[in-house]
Amino acid sequence: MFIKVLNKKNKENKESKYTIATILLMVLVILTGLLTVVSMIYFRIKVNNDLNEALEQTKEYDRYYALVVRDTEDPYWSGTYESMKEEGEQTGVYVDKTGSNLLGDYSEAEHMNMAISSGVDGIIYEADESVEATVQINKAIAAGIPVVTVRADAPASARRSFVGVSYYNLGMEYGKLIIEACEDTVNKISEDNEILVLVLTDKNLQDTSQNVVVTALKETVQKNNDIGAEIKVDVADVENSGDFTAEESIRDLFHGRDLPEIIVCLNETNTSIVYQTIVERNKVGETVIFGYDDSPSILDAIRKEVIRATITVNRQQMGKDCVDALNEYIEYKRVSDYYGVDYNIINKDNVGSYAESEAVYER
Amino acid sequence: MKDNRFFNKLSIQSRLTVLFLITIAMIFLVNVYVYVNINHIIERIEALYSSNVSLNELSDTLEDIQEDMTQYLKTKSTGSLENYYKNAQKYTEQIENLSISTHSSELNYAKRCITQMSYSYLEAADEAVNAKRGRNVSKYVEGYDECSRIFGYLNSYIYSLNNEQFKESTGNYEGLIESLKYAEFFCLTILVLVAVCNILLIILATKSITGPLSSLAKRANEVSEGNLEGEPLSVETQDEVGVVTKAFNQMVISLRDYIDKVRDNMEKESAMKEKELRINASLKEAQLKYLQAQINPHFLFNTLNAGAQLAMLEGADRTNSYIQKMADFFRYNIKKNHEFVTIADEIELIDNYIYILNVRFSGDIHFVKSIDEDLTQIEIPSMTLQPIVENAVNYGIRNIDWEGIITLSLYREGSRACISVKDNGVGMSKEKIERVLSDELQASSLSDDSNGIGLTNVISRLDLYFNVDNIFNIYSGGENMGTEVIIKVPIAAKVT
Repeated sequence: MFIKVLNKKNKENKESKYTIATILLMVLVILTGLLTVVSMIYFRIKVNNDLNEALEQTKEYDRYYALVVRDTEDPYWSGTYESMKEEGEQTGVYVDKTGSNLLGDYSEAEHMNMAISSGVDGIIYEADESVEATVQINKAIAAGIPVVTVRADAPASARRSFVGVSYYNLGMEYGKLIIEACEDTVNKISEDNEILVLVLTDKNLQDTSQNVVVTALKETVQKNNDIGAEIKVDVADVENSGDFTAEESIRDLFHGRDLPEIIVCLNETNTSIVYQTIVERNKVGETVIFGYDDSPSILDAIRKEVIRATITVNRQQMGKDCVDALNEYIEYKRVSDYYGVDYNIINKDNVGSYAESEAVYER
Repeated sequence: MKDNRFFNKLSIQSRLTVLFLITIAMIFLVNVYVYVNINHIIERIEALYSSNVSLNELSDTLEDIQEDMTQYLKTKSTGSLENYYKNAQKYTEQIENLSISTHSSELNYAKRCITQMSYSYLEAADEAVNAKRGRNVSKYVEGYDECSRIFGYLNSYIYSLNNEQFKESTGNYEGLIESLKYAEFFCLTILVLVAVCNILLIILATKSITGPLSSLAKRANEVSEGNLEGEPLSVETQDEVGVVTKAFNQMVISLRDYIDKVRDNMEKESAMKEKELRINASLKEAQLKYLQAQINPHFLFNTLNAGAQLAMLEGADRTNSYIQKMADFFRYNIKKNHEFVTIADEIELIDNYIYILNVRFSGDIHFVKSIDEDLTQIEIPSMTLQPIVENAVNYGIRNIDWEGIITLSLYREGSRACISVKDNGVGMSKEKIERVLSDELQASSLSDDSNGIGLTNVISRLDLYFNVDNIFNIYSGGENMGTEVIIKVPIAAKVT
């Protein structure tokens, strides 16, 4: 009897083992099937992932604009270019900085030619007042491509609009900054009762813009000079034809003579070089520097109070205006001749907040 | 579980075949899975670099066009013109079919630039060629310059696009390699899972084959050790093992039945032997008693015969008759010392016995016979009636004051022949009758002058010979009411 019960139990035990094994097998089979399907799907998604993401971003554009600038690597354009692209995205326009992805080193004129050959719908052109630039612009216009000049104008050309700051206003702003600086340093005025202001211009810029700035600066200084000392404004042309000439040229300029009380730089390169020179010659605090533009090193120098202030144009606005001007022209066949762009004065008081707002556009 | 039942119905061969097929199918599916994944990756890689290939082809054709055009402008050879047109046509097709597998806006823009520039280039080249035909020197030189310029740009664009494309492809390629690692992991995991599944499946299947076999073997061992009692093996499968198990179960049942039958027979046989032994023992006892009794009868018989002859010579007839009867009585004992005698023989013995007793006791005993002559040839064991009559004389009528009568009757009662010995003596109490019938009255209590064969022996012999109920009965009305002994012998009974 006992053995019988034991046998039965044994049998039940065996049967339950068998059932468990069968269930386990089924669970495994289902699991394997699920894993296969899931991994297959996951794998497809994973493989297509990058491309799919890009696909979502890819957009058909109505128009293509080319941005043709003198130096495609110039950080000055990064913020502007970003805002152009942003504005373009919103209005169905793709903006390309011509030549930025090309491996060869091409001149601005060649970039202009490329843009014309590519049959773009509009060109944003960093012009100057040279004949060559005018010819290029007219060539594009002749090919039916509207051109908007930016930063510097070519007034003689058939360009449809100019987007940039008013240089006269810019000169006045520098003048005001110089007067403020002179008031601060009135105690340290040298024996000959003269404050020397040196304005560094770009020798190779075939442009009247610098002249306008200098003129406005001088006028403002003369008009507002009530500190009882003479403020002498000198202009020095800095050679900037090659890649490294500006630095040599500035060093030569300061070599073996006293530094002026105030130095005004009208481009980013010169500002950076002067800043380096002042630091190297240990003249921080003795010479007041007013810069132009807002490279990270310039903003850093403002924080360290080596550079008193710098003036930057509102590049976001500038980029947006360029695209808007072209859009307006293409849509309505006419556009305002000049888009004024605001500028900002950055000093140690607002450098922090400015850097934060600008950081969005940093590459 | 439904599958399981289906599986159990299959033969071992089919089951193994199904098992291998499933295993192979699983492995095959895993391989398909792996190949599908790998193919997908390879397709992707191909797609990635296909644009590089087409860009290179484009660049080559462009080179050819430029060369052909230059050649034509230089030499005005028809061959180069033909080549120029051919290549220009080819180039147009290539441009139209140029597919860039990118979704980057920048690269798309570059592609668009290349397309547009190519059209500008072809246009300029056509113009230059046409001008050459028209011999417009300044125009074709101008056209050639334009072409060369755009050619330079185009090459630069194609080169850059190719480069960017390659960079992007490389990025994607790294992604793909990473995906490949994922695929590898998944494939391996699935392979392991499938392997585990297969192993489990094989274990389950082989268990389902070997399980019944081993329990069959175990049961066979038990049976060989003599245990036939266990429950029959359950038949779960209908395969070869199932068939063998069924046959085995049947065999165990048959074996059990056979053993039962043999045991039954043996029991019956031994019972019969026992009976035989008992009969033999009784017979031997009776024979022994006869032999003991024969010592005197032989001597007596001879001497009595001599006495009878003497009496006859002397003319004493009564003495002669008496001695003759005595001699007959003893002769019966000697002669009829067999198992079976007829009732008639027994009655004759009683006649002699009564005659002797009457001579001895001066005719005190009245003997009355009522015999159905048809029944006298029925055989009964010898020496059955004499001890009963002797009892009736010795215990029934010996010491009574009235005339003793002994009645012997033989009559039919249904299928039985009844032999009744009745006396009118002292009678018997019921207790005494029961004691006599239940064999409690010991032989030692018998009187000395009995011939030695007691009632017990008579009863037991009757029982053994006829083997029927109710063969020997004693009736008595109580004290002084006489006693009747009735033996009921089956008429048709053959003595066993």
